[in-house]
Amino acid sequence: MVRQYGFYFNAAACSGCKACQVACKDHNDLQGGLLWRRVYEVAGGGWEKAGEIWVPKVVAYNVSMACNHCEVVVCGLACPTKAIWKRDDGIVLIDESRCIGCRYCEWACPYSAIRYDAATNLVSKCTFCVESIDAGLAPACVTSCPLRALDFGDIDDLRKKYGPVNRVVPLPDPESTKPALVITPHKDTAEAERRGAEVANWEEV
Amino acid sequence: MAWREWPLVAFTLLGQLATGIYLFLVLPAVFSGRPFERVAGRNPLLYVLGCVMAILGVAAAASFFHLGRPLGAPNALANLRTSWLSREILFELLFIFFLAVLAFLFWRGRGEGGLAKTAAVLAAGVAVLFLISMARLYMVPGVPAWNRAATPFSFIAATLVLGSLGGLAAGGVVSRAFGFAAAGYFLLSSPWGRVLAIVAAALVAVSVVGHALLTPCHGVLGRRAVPSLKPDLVPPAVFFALRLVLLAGGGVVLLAALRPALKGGPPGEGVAVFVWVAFGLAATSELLARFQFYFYARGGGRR
Repeated sequence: MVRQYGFYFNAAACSGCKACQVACKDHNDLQGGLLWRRVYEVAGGGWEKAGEIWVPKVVAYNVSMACNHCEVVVCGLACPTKAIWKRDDGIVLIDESRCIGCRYCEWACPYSAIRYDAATNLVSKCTFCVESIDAGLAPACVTSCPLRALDFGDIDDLRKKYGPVNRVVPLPDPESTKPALVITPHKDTAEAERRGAEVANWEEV
Repeated sequence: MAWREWPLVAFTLLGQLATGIYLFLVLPAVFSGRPFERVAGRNPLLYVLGCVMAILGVAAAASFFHLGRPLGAPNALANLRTSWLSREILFELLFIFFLAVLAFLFWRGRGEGGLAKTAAVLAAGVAVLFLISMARLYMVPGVPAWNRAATPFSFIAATLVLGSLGGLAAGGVVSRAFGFAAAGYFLLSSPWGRVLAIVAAALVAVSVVGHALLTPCHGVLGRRAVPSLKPDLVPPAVFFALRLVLLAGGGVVLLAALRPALKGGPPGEGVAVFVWVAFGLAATSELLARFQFYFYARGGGRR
C-alpha cells in the first residue's frame, strides 16, 4: 500500500527536450497554453576574469516540475470550497464540481502547479495520471522521458533509492509544503545561487 | 497586469474604504453623539451608514466578477477552518449584517441606546477581522513578493488613509446636505472634525514613509523576491514614484484645507473641494499601489 506517491527528477540527466511536458499535454488533452508539467530552463552567471583572460562562468540546467502532491496541501488549505482533496495514496486532486474559479489555490501553490483553464474558467493541475496509477501503469511524463530523468513511486522508497534532496534553485523552500519530490541535482546547482541563476524561459512555462 | 484582477482591486480598495470610514466616522459618532446630532428628526449618521453599506455592497458585487463560476459563490464559506478567503467573506457578511442592525436602530430612533453601541462595537470587531483576513489571505509562500510586511502595511495604510479622508469628504457632503454647515463645512468647524483632519494628514505622512521603505523592489528596504517559479518582474518605477507623489500631494492639499481651521477660524472658502481633491489624490495613489500589488502575482501579464 502506497502511503504517499511522489515524483523523482534527475536534473543531472535532463536534457530539456520537454517530452514530459508534451506527453502530459497529450495524455490529458490539455488546451493551448495550459501546462500541468513544465520544464524550466535555469541559467545564470557571466564572464569572469581569471588572470589575464576572461572566461565564461555560467550555470545552466533544467527543472521539470508538476504538482508535487505535497504532504502539507497548502492549496487545499487555502481553497474556500474544499474542492482540493488528497487520496489515501497521497495524490492531490481537484473536484471541479466544487471549484468556483476564485484562483486562490493558484496563488497559494509555491510550485506554480495549479493553472487557470480558460476553457472552463476553473483551475486544474497534474492528476498524477491517476487513472493510469489505478490501472497499475506509470504517469505519462515518466514513461515519455527518453533519458529516464523522471521516476515515480512511494516517496519513502524514492528517498531510499535517490536520497533526500527536494530543492534546487529556483524551487521554493520545501518546509511549508513538504513536497513529495526527490531530486538529483545538476552539478551546476551548487553555483546557481551565487551566480544569480533564474528561470530563463518564462514565455514557455 | 492581468485585467482579470481588476475586480479584486475594486473589492479590496472599496472594502478598505468602507472599513476606514466606519472606524473613523461612524464608530466615534455613535459613542460621542457628535457631530451628527439629529436635525429635524433625521439623523445624518443613518445616511453615512447607508454610504458605508453601499460601498461594501459594490465591493461584494465586484468580487463576483473575479470568479470563474459566480453561481458557486455560496460554497466559498465551506472552509472556515483553514481558508482565509472563507473567513474574509464571512467577516464581510457579518460586517454588513451589524451595519444593517445599527442602521435599523438609528432608523427607529434608538441610536443612543446600549443596543446600538453593542452593534457598533460588534461591527467594528468584524470590520477589523475582515481587514486582517484580507491581508492574511495574500501572505502566501506562492507569491514571495506578497509574503512580507509590505502587504499588511499597505492594506492597513489604505484603510486608514482612505477611511479618514473619505470620512472627511463624506461627512462634509452629509453635513452640508443637512444644512449643518453655515460656514460651508461642518466637520472642520468642530474640534472633533479638526482632530480627524489632523489624524488624516498624519496618516498620509506615515503611509508615504512606509511605502517608500517597504514596497517590494522599489522601497528602501523592499528587497527583490527570492528566486521562485513565479516570474519576478519589477513593475515600472514610474508607478511607484507617481503614487508616492499623489499620496503626498493629497496630504499637502489637506493641510492647505486645514490651515484656516487650525488657526481657530472658520473653515475657508471652498474647503469641501480641497478635501475631495485630497481624497481623490490619495484614492488614485492607492489605485496605482493596488495595480502594482497585483502586478507581482501575474508577472506583469506574462501569464
